[in-house]
Amino acid sequence: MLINLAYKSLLHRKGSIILTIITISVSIIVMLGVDHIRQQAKLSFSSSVSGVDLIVGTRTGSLNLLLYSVFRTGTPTNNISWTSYERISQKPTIHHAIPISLGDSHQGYRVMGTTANYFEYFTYSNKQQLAFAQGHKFEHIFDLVLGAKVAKTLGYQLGDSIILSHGIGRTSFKNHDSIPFNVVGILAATGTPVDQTLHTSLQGLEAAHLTKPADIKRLTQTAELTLSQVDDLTPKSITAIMLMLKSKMAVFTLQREINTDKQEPLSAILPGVALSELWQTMAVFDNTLHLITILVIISSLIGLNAMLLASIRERMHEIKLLRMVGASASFVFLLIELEAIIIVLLSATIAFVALSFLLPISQTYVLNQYGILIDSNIISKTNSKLMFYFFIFTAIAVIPSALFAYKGARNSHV
Amino acid sequence: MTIQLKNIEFSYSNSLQKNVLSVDDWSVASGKKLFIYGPSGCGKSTLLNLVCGIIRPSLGSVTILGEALNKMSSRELDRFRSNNIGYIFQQFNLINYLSAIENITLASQFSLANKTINIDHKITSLLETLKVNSEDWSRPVNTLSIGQQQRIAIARAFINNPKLLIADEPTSSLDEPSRDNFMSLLTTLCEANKTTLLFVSHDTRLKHHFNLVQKFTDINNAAGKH
Ligand SMILES: Nc1ncnc2c1ncn2[C@@H]1O[C@H](COP(=O)(O)OP(=O)(O)OP(=O)(O)O)[C@@H](O)[C@H]1O
Ligand SMILES: [Mg+2]
Repeated sequence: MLINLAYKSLLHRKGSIILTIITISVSIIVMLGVDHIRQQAKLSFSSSVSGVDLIVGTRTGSLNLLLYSVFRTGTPTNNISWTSYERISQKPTIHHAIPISLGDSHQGYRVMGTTANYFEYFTYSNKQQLAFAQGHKFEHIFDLVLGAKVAKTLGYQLGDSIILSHGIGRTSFKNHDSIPFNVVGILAATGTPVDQTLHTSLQGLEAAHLTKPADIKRLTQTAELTLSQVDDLTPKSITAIMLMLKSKMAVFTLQREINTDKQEPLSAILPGVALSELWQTMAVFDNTLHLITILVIISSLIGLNAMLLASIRERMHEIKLLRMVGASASFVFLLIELEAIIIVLLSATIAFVALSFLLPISQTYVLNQYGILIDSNIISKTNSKLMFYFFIFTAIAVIPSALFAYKGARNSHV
Repeated sequence: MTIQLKNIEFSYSNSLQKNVLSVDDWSVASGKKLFIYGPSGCGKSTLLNLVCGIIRPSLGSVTILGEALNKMSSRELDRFRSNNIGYIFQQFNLINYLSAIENITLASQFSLANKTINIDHKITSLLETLKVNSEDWSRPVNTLSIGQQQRIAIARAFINNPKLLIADEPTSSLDEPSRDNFMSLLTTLCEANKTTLLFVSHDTRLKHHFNLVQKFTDINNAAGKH
């Protein structure tokens, strides 16, 4: 009876109710949309690397090390020696060590030198391995594997040859003109900084930095040299090492060992810890989004309340009639509450439908623009929780209106 | 006795004001059809509200159907009213966005009286008795004429078999033919249901429909002093 009455009464005032529903739908879309993107950004952020237990670099501060080794931004300050790499990778607790070398770029995208094992052992997100959209990992010295975004924005295909620049930045003056690299593989999109990286072998990078024309000539004329044939190009130094351990238990011991290394000043960081530290530094971003969400909720609930309050003034006679047929004042209170809940329920439905159309559309855009892969499924646990709170807040927020109706009902003289 | 008022004093808002009502001893026997007349503003509606328990007297006791309203909580009053008292006002008796059937059903749902019987049948037979065309039963009542609405109001008032029916100038917005029609339908139903009728109006031409007629100033001592 209560539900039927609330429904009929809403239908009777459909003009103002529809406007209110639209307002609240938009609020819910903003609320859920902003929060979804915030969560997804955080998730995508923390899924940039997984399965790597320690990252080793020079003593530079953990954030800096994380920034250049994982996010490929910032400037690697110093290198660590190849001998340190060899020493560390030989430690018994280590399952695998991947050396990486940064410092060159192409059209603003970073070039990373590494070993072919990188493609097997590096994992992101939920321990996902890198996958090749086309081609294969590098086998020859001047082979190049492109991240998905690099290939897409620069329009490269398998077989293209590319000149790398020395240093970072789009307008680097010094190009390694004499040595063209060949694209042999293109990775599938990951939504992580891997998409924006060009991968080549350490030996290839080393060769690109050769200065003696004779050496260069030797290499470029026998272009089909495989990596094992160029032992002499083993680098003297690298930028960082990613370590995968046999057992997680050894992480802290190993970290201490590396940090207190006698032969070279090294530092080892736990990527997970450093990632959350980095996210902390972006707390302003996080908090701003939170604030937006809260303000949107508050404003829409105030709007709802204003609409209800105005309607109750007009409905005093109706309320008196309800009282006369035996409705208690609490019935009137519940009626107003129920009307508010129905309005929010309808708005929520509209918002969810709208978002399930909007998100897939914005998905590609966001991935291209910001390299963040957002999930197009809006119905998540946190969102349900958010909606649940929204309903509770609605019920609380309309108490003034409902109380006003209740008081009116109690004091009604017919 | 259906209605019994003793030593009633009532004033709106604060006690500094003059009393609107002052009734020493007034009672109405069961089954009577009582007509009370008096000029506008003398306190007729106030008396009816007191009888319904919508307002409480500053002093004195109101006893309806043997129950002292003073002793009831507002919840008990709500219950009591919906189970025992029907009412019809001058106009706007119905929730305007609901249909005749929905209005009557709503009234029946708040009462205990109809829990067992077939309510839909009762509603349709009442509407038929009151000569409301069946095509108007499901339309929102704000699309119906005042005369039709007042007849539906009678049906609504009778759905819970009230022992007491209160009518506050229900005919004042009706023209003469529909007024007579309304009055005969109302009194016939009251007789058939053995419902006590308390009817107030300033229009003394209605007198002949009743078996008991009182002047409001004879009941209310405060009225004369206005
Ligand atoms: N809610 C109220 N608050 C304050 N005073 C009121 C209220 N309702 C009525 N009054 C006053 O009480 C007096 C009696 O009013 P009441 O409505 O009972 O008269 P009435 O006899 O029903 O008049 P009418 O024939 O016009 O309906 C009037 O002087 C009126 O101004
Ligand atoms: Mg009156």
